[in-house]
Amino acid sequence: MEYIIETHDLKRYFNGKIKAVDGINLQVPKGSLFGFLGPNGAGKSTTISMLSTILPPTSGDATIHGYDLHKESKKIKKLIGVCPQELVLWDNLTARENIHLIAQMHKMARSDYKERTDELLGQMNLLERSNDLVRKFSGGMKRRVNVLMAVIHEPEIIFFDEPSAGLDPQSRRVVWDFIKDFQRKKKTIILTTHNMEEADDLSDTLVIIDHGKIIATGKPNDLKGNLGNGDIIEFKINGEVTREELMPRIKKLDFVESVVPIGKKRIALHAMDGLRRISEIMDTVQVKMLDISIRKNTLEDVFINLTGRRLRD
Amino acid sequence: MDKDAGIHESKKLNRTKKTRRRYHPRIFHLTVSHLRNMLRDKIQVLFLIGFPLVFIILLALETESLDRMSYDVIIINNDIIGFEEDPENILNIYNTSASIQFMSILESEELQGAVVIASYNTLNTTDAKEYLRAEKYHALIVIGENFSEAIYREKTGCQQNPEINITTVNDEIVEKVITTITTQIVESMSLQLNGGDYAEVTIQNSVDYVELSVFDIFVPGILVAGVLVCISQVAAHFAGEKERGTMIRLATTAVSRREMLLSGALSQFLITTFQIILMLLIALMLGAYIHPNANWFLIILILVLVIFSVLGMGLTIASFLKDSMSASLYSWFLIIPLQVLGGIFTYGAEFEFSFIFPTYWAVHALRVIMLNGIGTWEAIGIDITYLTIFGLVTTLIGVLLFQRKKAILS
Repeated sequence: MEYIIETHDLKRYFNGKIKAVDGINLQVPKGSLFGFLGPNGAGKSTTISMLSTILPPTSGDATIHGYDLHKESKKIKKLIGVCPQELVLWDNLTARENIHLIAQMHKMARSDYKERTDELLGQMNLLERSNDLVRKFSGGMKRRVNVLMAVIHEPEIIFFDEPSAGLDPQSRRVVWDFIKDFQRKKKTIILTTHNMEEADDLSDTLVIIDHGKIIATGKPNDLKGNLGNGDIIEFKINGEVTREELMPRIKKLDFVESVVPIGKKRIALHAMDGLRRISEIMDTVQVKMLDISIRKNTLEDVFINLTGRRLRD
Repeated sequence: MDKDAGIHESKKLNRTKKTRRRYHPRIFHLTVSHLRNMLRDKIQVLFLIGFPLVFIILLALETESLDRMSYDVIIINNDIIGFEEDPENILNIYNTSASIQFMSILESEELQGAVVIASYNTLNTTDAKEYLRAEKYHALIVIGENFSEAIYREKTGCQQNPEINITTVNDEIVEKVITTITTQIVESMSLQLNGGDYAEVTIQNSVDYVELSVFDIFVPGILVAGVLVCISQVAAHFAGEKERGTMIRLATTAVSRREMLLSGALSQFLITTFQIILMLLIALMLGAYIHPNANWFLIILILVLVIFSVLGMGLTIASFLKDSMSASLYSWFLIIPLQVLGGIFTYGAEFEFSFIFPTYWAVHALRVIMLNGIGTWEAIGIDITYLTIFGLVTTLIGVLLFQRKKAILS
């Protein structure tokens, strides 16, 4: 398999102490959509910043398309497009002008970028407002312009840092379709998100990252499959008994595969045929259970299973 | 209906009471939060304390300096001519004591306004006037040939009044101060040495004299002050680019840091140049005097050289600060000293060290060009040289500091 991005023990410390990224090893196949899933502050954006040559690593090596990250950043910049997490736009330029500016920075031919801008604006449903100043745009529209600026020059590798953050479901779907379109064109896409649905829906390969370290890698279905094929039952206890007392009791049930505490008062358990067995669980617990939910396992459950925390905690 | 109205009234009253109860602590908490927020920001605290301190100190220095006004004066003493050739002349009894005494008093630090004599008797009148036109000196005092003879008229029998010709730069204040002091000295000497005969002091202003208003005199300074304010604008622009992340966005494209920097500097240069031209036009519309022989190319050149320094200083500030607000505020720590200590708003009351500021040279050059119509190398060569060197050095420092990856991406 041809890897377009390879990193070896990549680290980034801030002020010599804060370990934002703590020894990441990656192999990103060419043409894949590689997702980074993790909570805020996990080190996703820092990793993207390093791979997109913005932030120098504290230590470690990386190659992008065979170019050394430390020595050949100019060549790397010609290959990549970066959609930052923040809305980085020139507010007093129109949407079209913002996109053109980035195209001009990449020395694209005028006729090429004009045509392509129209095409992209159309894909994002922004053609009608393309000549309006972006400061007059809604957050969602700005976010879409932010995405377009990263892809105008048809880069080989595109970094999307939380591309759908703050978008309404409809706009989010437009952005996801847009990203999938690049996936079909065999471009390599690196996507960071803390939205498990986004990670699940878009990623070919997923890396779960926490406290600057990779804690799991694999295809989303494989990661979920590792938890088993049962259901996730999650509930809150009212404090009559402690979780420490309850959890061993639940674990003894033969259809329960794992039990994980969440937050202060919640327990999540992975059980085969959970819906039918819920009464047995209630008999075992023998305390008042609040907010019971039963669902198929998700990437969030994978994360909970690995860290004991929710993605948003 | 009435009942309802009563209920509504009662509810209204209750609401008002509740609202009032809630309103007060909210204001209180908000105020405390604002204060906390500000006082936890070290940069803001430093500015909050530092700015008034520096401002007051500088203003105090400036106002203090107004009491010790000093002028550079050229004196040509014609009183000594002829005495050495005729040792028997009765005037030798007194030699040239009157003119020497006059110069000695003029030099005295204790004298009101403490006139500083920079040089005398070493220049011929033509050269001296040329220096005066170039504003290298404030005044030229020519002591007449008959000065001592006329002062000691009781003994010499001279019928003439002691004569002194004063030529000053094109500034009414300078003219009045120098004339008043000179007249007072001569009158005082006449009273002491000659039993009360007053001397006549001839005032002659040989520089193409135009009635200049205070505004006319300060226009060059105002222009330079205007350019200096742009330090704040330049610093805020570059720091703002960092703050908004647009610089980082550009850093991910094929554009180099140098290109980013130069494009930013160029845009600021053009904006500043436009502002200066606008200021110049407004000054002209308000009736500012520009000498008919003034060289416009030189005026623009001097201002452009100042803009270079401004860009350099703005970049230097922006390289250390992360947001436009801080950059804009902190710029004033540079702007005010440059304005106050560089002699923009003073004339004849500059500090001894004012020459280290580029503003001093810029204002001098502009005054010479705009008010006296002089544009020779002798008159403004040193000003242009200093401004060029200062502009290059500050721009280089600014570029080097800002071009660092750390400065752009911080």
